Amino acid sequence: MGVLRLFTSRDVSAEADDRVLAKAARAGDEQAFALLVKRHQGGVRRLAARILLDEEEARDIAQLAFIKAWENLSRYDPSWCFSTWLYRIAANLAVDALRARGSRDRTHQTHLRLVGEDEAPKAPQLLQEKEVESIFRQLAQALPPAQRQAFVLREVEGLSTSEVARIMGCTETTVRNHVFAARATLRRELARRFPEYLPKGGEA
Amino acid sequence: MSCGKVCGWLPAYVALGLGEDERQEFRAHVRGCQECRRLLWQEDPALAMALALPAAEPTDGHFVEEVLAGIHQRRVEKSLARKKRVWRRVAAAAFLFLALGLAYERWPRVPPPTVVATPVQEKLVPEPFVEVEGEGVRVYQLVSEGEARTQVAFIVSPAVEL
Ligand SMILES: [Zn+2]
Repeated sequence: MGVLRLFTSRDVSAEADDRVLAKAARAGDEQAFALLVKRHQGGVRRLAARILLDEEEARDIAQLAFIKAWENLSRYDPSWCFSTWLYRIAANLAVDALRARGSRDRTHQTHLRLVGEDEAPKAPQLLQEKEVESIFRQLAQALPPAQRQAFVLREVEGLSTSEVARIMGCTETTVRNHVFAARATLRRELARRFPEYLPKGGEA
Repeated sequence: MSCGKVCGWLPAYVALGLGEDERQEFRAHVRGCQECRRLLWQEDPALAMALALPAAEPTDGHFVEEVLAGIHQRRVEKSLARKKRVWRRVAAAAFLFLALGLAYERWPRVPPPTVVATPVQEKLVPEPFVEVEGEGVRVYQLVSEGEARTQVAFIVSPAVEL
């Protein structure tokens, strides 16, 4: 139940509840589905935003993911956590959108830097969450879709390797390879764009 | 969980080799401990960054309604598309029917087999001929070659008039 760990305030009964709601929704109960949307919209939107690096587009993709989930409830296999199933739909839609967008991203924000870059760099552990978010957005532009998906799902969202493999439809080894490759790319980009934040003695 | 324990798990976490339960414990601690995050940053800035990203989930009041509205809209669109498909099929069938009808009308008819009346050719039957030999008279009637045999009639009365 890796996804449960994503939501620390949630317990097993919430997941069981999800399945009950999903079953009701499958029978056509829109109110039950509305509860599921309310419960998972935050996680799904955050995931889409971390893959797409664009809040507005992420909101649209998250909506589309819920609509697709509703339309495909008959195919929902209750052996999956409902949230993992939703994440799968959302992550795949986000990656499709990313691929469709092509290389626009890379040329788009190449020269963006942090606001207040003239200030002396802070120690990385003291960076505010928003600043980390901003750095991550810029570095992650360099990640190809599959690496970005694997890194966001496993390292940012905290899903287990097996869950990520299930979502991406590949083996656990492939997931690990994508994560290793993504880490190398992020480190290289950090060295290139924000060398002041590289670990001491760390090379790209 | 203590910072010391995290230090011990650090290499395995970076090598993606930590068991799932330990991994979640490690992540929860590092999220809330700046010192351990600094250590992780030294080892792998990308992994440390992943744990320093805000955990807040964007939400807004209109989202659920918009999803439901989207579901209704798609339902209407699908139903319209289905109706369109049905009408398109009906129209196609009607068109096909008309086209076939027209084609049938205009198709050049095959003329009925013409029967040519040909006069029955009379068989050329050779004239009978008579042979007289003493008292006897022979009347020969020869038939055409196709027929198997030659019919011969004998008339033996000398009084017969030929
Ligand atoms: Zn600590």
